[in-house]
Amino acid sequence: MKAIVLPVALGAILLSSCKKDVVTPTSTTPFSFPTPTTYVFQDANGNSTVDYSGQIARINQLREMVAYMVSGRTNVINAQVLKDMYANTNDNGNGNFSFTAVGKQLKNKCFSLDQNLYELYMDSIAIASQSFAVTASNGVAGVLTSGTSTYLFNKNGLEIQEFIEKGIMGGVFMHQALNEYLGSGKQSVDNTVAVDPAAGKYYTALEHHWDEAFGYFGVDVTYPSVIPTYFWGKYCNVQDPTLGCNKKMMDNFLRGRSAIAYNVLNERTKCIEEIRNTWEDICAYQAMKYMTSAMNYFGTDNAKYLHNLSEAYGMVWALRYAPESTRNISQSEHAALMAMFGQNFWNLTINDLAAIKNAIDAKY
Amino acid sequence: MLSIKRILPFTLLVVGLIGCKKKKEDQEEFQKGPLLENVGSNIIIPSYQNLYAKLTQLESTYQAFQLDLTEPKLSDVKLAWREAYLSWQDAFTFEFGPAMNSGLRTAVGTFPSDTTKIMSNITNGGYVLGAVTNIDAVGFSSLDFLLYRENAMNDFTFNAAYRNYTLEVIQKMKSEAQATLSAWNNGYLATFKASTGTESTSAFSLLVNEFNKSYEICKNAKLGIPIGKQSLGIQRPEYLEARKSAISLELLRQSIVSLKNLFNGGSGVGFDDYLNALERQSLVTSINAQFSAIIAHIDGISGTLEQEMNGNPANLDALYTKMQGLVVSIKTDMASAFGVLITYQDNDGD
Repeated sequence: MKAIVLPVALGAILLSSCKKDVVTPTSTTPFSFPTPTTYVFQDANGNSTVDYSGQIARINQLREMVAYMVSGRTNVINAQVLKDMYANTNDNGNGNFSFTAVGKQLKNKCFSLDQNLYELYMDSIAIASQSFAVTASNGVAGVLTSGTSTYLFNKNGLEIQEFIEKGIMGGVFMHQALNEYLGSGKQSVDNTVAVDPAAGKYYTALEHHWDEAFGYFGVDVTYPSVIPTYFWGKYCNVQDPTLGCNKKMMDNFLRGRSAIAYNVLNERTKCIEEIRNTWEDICAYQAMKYMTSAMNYFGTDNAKYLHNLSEAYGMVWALRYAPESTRNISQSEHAALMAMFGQNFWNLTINDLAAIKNAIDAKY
Repeated sequence: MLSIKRILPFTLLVVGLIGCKKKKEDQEEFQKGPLLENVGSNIIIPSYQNLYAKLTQLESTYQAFQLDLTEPKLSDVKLAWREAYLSWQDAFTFEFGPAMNSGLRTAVGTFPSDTTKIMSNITNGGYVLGAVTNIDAVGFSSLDFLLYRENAMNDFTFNAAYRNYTLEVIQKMKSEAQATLSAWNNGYLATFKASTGTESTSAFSLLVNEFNKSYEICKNAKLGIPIGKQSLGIQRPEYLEARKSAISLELLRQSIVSLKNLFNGGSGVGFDDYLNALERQSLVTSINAQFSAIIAHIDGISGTLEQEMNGNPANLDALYTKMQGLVVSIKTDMASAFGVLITYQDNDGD
C-alpha cells in the first residue's frame, strides 16, 4: 500500500507548488531490457508470473465445439448442445465438454453485438445436419464429398461450421486479445504489486492482462518451434512465408511482456501496434488464400469449392473484430465486402469470386 | 529488477520537489475560496434556478395541453421540453452534494430509455417512478419518446394513463430540481465555498472531478457510443440521446458550451484563473482553443447527428478525435496542476 500512496502524495505536493511541467519518468527513461526467447517470465524469487489458463480453456472449448459440429456431417446434431457449450452451462458445457472450467465461457466474452448471432447459426447448422444423408445442391442442404473429405452445407452452399468457428476465433479470441486485453482500459492498470502471491498470483494486473492476450493467440511458449493444429497459431504459420508473421507475433508478445516487467510502457505500446496490425494481416491474407483455393476448385470440385469459400467467408467476417484504430477497412467497407458474397454461394460466378478477392487485396 | 524500476520515479520526484521549493516563496498562493464562491453563486445555483424554472414552464404548458388536446398545444409542450432539456445541459455537471444525494443526473438525464418498459408501465399501472428499475423509464429521455413517437397525439387524446404518466414524469423532475436547488440555497453553498482543500472529498476536488466526468460523458455517451467508438466502429444509433426529436446535436453543443463556461468561471474566477496563477497560461489558451474548435466543428454540421452518422461519419470521427484531445488537457494536465486526483473510473472502452 505504501508504495502506491507515496508517489501520489509527493506528486501532488510537487505539482501544486511548482509551475514546471513534470515528465513521467517511465516515458523518457532510456532503458534497455532483456527479452527472453520463450514465453517464460518469473519474479525475483523465481516464481512464474505467467498464467492464461482461462484462455486455454476457451480454446479447448471451441475445439470441442468444432468436433461436435463435424459430427453433423454424419449425424443429426442438436443446437442446444452447441449453445450449452458456447455458454459453458454448469461449467462443463452441460456435460458436453470433456473437462470442467469454472466460470469460463465463450459467449460472454464474445463481442457484445454478436453474442446472439452465433446462436442463430447454431440453430441453422442443426437444421442442416438433418440432411446429412442428402447430397447438397443449389437450394438443397446436405453433404458433398471430395476424396476422403465430407462437408455439410446449408441450402445456400454455406458450410456453417466454418462461419461459427472463424466467427468465434474473431469475435472472442482476436477481439478479446486486441480490443480488450491490449486495449487502453486493461493496459492502464497497476504494474507495481503482485496481485495475490499467497494464491500463486505473482504477476501484476498489467502483466496478467498481457498474458491473457497472448493466451488467446493460442500458441506454445516456444512458438514457432511448436505449431498448433488449430486457430490463430495455425494460420499465422500458414501465412508466415508471406508475412514473416511467426517471428513478428512472437517477438512482439515477448518484447511487450518484458517491457511491462521492466515498466518501459512506451515500448509496450509499440508492440501492441505491431501485434494488432500483424494479427489483422494474418486474417486478411488467410481469407485471400481461401479465395484463391475456392477459385481453383470452381467448376471442378463443388465440395472443395464451397468449403474454401465458406472458410473465406468466415475469415472475412472476422476482420470486423480488428481494432478500429488500426483496421485497414472501415465497418461500412467491410459490410460492402460481406455483401459481395451474396445470399447463395451456388449462384456466384468466377468473376464474383475474383472481385471479392481483389476487394480484400485492395485493402491489404 | 523490481526494486530498480520502483526507485527511479521516487528519486526524480524528490529531486523535483526540492528543486522548486524556492519558487514557492515568491509565488502568491492562489485562493480557491473566491473561485468556489463564484462558481457556486454565479454558475451552479443559477443553473438549478433555470432548470427549475424551465421545468415549471414545461409543467404548466403540459397542463394547458391536457385541457386542450390539440397539435398546436402539443407543439408548445415540445418546445418547453426542448428548452428544459437544454437548461439541463448547464446543470448536469454538478453531481455532488445535493444533486448526488438525490441522484439527479441518473433520475433526469439517463438515456436511452427503455421504451417497452415505459409502455408497459402505462398499460399495467402500479409503477413507482423513483424505483431503480424505472431509471430508464423517466427523465428527459422518456419524454423524447412520449412526446415524439408516431402515435403520441392519438395516445394523448384517448389514453388517460398515457397523459398521467407524462405528467408524473414532468412533476418528478421538477420536484427533484427543486429539492436540489433548495439544498444549495439552504446551507450547501456555504459548505461548498469553505471546502477548498485538494483531498478527494473536498468541494474543489469534487468540482474538478465532475467537470472531467461530465466532459467524458459528453464525449462518450452523447457522441462516441452512437458513432461506434465502443463497438469497433459499428454505429449504434439506438444509443443516441433524444433520437426521436433529433435534437442530439443541440444538446451536445450546449453541454460543451456550458463546460467551457465553467472552465472560465463565466465572467468571474474559474479554473482558468487558477491555472494562470500557476503560470500555466499556455494550457489555458490551449484548453479554450480546443473547446472553441469543438463548438465550431459542431456548428459546421448542418443536419442532425443521425443524418451526419449516415451521410458523413468521417466528420464525426474527426469531431470525436478533437474531443478526445481535450481529455488530456483537462484530465491530466489541469488536474495534476491543481494537485487534484481524478477518482472516478471512466468507462472508456476504446
